[in-house]
Amino acid sequence: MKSNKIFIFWCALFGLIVLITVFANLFSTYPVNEMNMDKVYMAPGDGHILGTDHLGRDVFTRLLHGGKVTLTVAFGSVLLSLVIGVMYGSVSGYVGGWVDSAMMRLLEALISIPSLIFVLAFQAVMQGGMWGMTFIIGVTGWFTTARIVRSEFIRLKEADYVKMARMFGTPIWRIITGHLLRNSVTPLFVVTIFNLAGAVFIEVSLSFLGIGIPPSIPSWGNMLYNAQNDLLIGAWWIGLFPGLLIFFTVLSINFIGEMLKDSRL
Amino acid sequence: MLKIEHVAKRYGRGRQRKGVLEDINLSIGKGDLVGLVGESGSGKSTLARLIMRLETMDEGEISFSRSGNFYDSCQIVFQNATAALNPTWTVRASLLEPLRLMKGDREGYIKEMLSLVSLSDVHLDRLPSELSGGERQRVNLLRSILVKPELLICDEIVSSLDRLIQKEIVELLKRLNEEMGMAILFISHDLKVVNYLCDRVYVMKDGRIVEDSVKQDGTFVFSHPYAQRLFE
Amino acid sequence: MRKRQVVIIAVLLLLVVLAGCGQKKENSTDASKNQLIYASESEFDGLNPILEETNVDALLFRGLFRFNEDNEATTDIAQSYDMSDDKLTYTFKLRDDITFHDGKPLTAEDAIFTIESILDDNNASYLKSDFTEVDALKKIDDYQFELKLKRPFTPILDKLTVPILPKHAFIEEDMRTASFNSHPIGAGPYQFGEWNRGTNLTLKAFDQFYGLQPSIGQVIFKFIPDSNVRAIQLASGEVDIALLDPNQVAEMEKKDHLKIYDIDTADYRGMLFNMQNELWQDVRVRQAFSFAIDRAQVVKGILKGYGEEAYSPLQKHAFHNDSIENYSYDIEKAEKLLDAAGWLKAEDGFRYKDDQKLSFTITAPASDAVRVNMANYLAEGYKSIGAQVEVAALDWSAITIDDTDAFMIGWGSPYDADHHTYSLFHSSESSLTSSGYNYGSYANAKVDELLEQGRLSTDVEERKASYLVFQEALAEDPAFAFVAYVDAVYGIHGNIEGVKERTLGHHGSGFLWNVEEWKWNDR
Ligand SMILES: Nc1ncnc2c1ncn2[C@@H]1O[C@H](COP(=O)(O)OP(=O)(O)O)[C@@H](O)[C@H]1O
Ligand SMILES: [Mg+2]
Repeated sequence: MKSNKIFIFWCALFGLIVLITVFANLFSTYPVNEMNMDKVYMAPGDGHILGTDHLGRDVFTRLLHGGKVTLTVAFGSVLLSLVIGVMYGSVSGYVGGWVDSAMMRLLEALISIPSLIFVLAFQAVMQGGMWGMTFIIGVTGWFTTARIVRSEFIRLKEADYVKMARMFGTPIWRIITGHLLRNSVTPLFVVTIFNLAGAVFIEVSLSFLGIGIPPSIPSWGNMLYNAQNDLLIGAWWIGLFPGLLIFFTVLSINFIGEMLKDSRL
Repeated sequence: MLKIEHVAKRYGRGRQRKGVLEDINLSIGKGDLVGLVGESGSGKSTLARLIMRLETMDEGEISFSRSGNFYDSCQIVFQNATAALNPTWTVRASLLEPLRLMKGDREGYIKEMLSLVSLSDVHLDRLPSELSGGERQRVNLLRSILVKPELLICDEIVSSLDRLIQKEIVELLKRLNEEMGMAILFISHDLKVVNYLCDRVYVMKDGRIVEDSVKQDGTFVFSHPYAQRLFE
Repeated sequence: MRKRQVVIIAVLLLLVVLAGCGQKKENSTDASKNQLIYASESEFDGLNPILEETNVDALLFRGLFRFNEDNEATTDIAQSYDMSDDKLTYTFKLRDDITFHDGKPLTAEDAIFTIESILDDNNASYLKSDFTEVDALKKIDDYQFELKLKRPFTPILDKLTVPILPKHAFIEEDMRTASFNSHPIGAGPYQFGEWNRGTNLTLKAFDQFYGLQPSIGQVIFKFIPDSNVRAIQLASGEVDIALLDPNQVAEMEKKDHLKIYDIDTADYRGMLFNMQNELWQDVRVRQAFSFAIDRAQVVKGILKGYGEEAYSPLQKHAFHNDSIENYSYDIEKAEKLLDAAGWLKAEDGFRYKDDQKLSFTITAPASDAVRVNMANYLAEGYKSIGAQVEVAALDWSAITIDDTDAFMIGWGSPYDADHHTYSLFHSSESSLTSSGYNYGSYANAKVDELLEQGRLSTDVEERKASYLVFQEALAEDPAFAFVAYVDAVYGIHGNIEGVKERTLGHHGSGFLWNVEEWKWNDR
């Protein structure tokens, strides 16, 4: 099947990116932060396959470590938003009634506020490090998850097997985990995949704007942010490679999500 | 054992409000095989849900003479077996669900009961999607009788199955009734089966019970024209 | 949402690639206008020169004295002056042909009013410490007044380069909130035109100016905080002058229409030790961190050679002392000092004392790439002596220097030795208790004494001696780890004539000092 091959291609690409960043230490050719003032702005070539940046640091090495930071932030925040979203959506969908109305009203209010405002507000309160960033993206990224969990719960809690379970006296937590959540896995997985792409995107955009991860920690967003200074003087390699990698990461995650959604597993 | 008196049920609000059940009177004794027939939309399933306390009624009273946990002595089997089984759970998990509080060898008990519905160990690890329609309905039925209820409500449980399997299940119900003394309220619009299985029958039309009849010499006798027409 | 992400990233990528292929787009503003557009790094809260120092002051205002090309104070509005034999009383005679931009004459009353306003505590002028030696002011006639000092204080002539405010503009007005602050009136070669907050400020040539009539009709200060945007706009001709980052220079030199001025400055960068942090209490620790900076590499890699290693705040001054400890790069010494101070290396490579890790954060303003780079380089280098150092690059608005552990500071003055020394290192100038600039609450009795001697003695040799010893004392008990002096590299449109170089101050301030002499040779 053709689409199956394409699916495998994107999965493999994403897997490869994750792999080389997770094992960044194995693949990198220099210490991440090693600065060499004698080799500032070297174009790709001898000794530095992707060149060096404004402080003489190896771009390839930083790319790998940057990916580790970016992807850790993305995976961490997605996990956090999954937990929050599932809890919020479960309560809202399972309890129903006015509790549900109130919670949904609140959720709509939260969704209507641009997430950038949240992020800025959080940033102001808790000077973001890497984990701060993870926290912020996680805490502002659970809205869709909560919505999906809620609508799935509302649909599923009327199912006959849930009625039967109640009659059998199955405890609520077991009904929620065993029946309701268990049968919401597919849509949850899809929304989480998309959240992952979103989280990469947010890290990159925020860091690109200089309000994300502290500049001393290499992340793809920070590399792009720094590359702004370098473009002007013709050091295209510093921005291009992280840009490409971000592009293909987000693209592959989106394709994977899109195909999962269509096939419904 | 079960006594239903002057029960009424209405759905909707205000102008939309419409009566689904009106002045229902019905009783089931220990070990009774009772049929409930009526065309689609006459309110049979609604009545079943009221008995099972899944919904509240607007008028009347339903009394059940057994003390203790209601659902240990009264169970229902839903019409749609596919919807009644969690698609992500194996047969084993589904069957273990009602036995959560049982002490002793639950697995052994299930295996013992499996033969009752002509299923075997191999089915235990299957998902509902890996079973045939008949097998699914038998698992569904088995799950409800694992707790050995005294009253079992079967809501159109054979309607969507083919004749051969229908017969199997009806035989099974008969056996359960004889061996365990389980009373059964058999809801159906299939008169042949009711005729075969039940000793007593209630006929419903538009939310009312228009007639009830006790089987004499293998047949039911009706005076109400609707019931007569139905059973012709 | 998802599609948008992909599109945005694609666009970003495209930008990266396009920019890599070199950018065109030349000259977008009309080149015919006789105006000068200056890319200003920052905007200002107000334009009152005794409340805030801006690079517009030199255009709008003039003082009794003015710094010439050699940074010496020479008479300007003051026509002549006399000093009494006891060096305590000065009599100034003012030019009588000077009018403010609003047409009113500038008189001795205005000069007296200006100094009194600076000394008035209600106004909280940042210049107050420059004038604390003034005892009394007395008007003799409209164009003459007398200034009495408490003690002899020779830098007073330097200090009197302060812009003269028009007294009549402050009648029944509070200095801090006066409408003057957003619509200033001076006696300089240019007068206030229009101020679009957040965008630009336009000044127009003042045709009643008593000095050389400016050739360029309008000077526009365009506020562009981002250094890349400044460089791009300079390259495209949208602005005519911009201060460049060192790493932008090579690219700008390739532009035919630009001239590059690499100007020596008294502007240094260093790491301020905030003495409120326990860590810096031990002088050996500060010395160690001063030794562990490879300044040559900073100048080479970060400043691209547009700068010079720093060790003293007066290095560019006539009073500089080059025999003091200059903390040339020496890891071994640094390690010994830390050992002696009780910070011992553990297995993880970091130093500890009483179970506390040797770690701190260097704060730097995010908009200043050079300072951020320096902070990063220092932090990385400090690893080798066992310190864990983080860098916080923050927006200026988020920085409170007296709350940091260490800050990438920038200071320096080409003028009198008292300038940018007393207000930085004298204990009475602590930013916590005064309006001074001693952000690290540095206090050293000997330094205090020498700074006072330096400002109060009238004999040049005596003063020099004080400042030489001051530099020695400061080096022994460092307030900053000096890093480098940074050249002011300006890119200017090649058709502008009349630029006169002189050693510039902080952030290259003073480059516009003689704008009235500039002209377009093609307009
Ligand atoms: N939850 C409900 N809300 C409104 N009307 C309902 C609801 N459930 C059943 N009804 C209506 O009640 C009537 C009886 O339905 P039901 O009991 O399912 O009939 P049967 O099982 O005999 O086919 C139908 O007209 C149906 O539309
Ligand atoms: Mg029905």
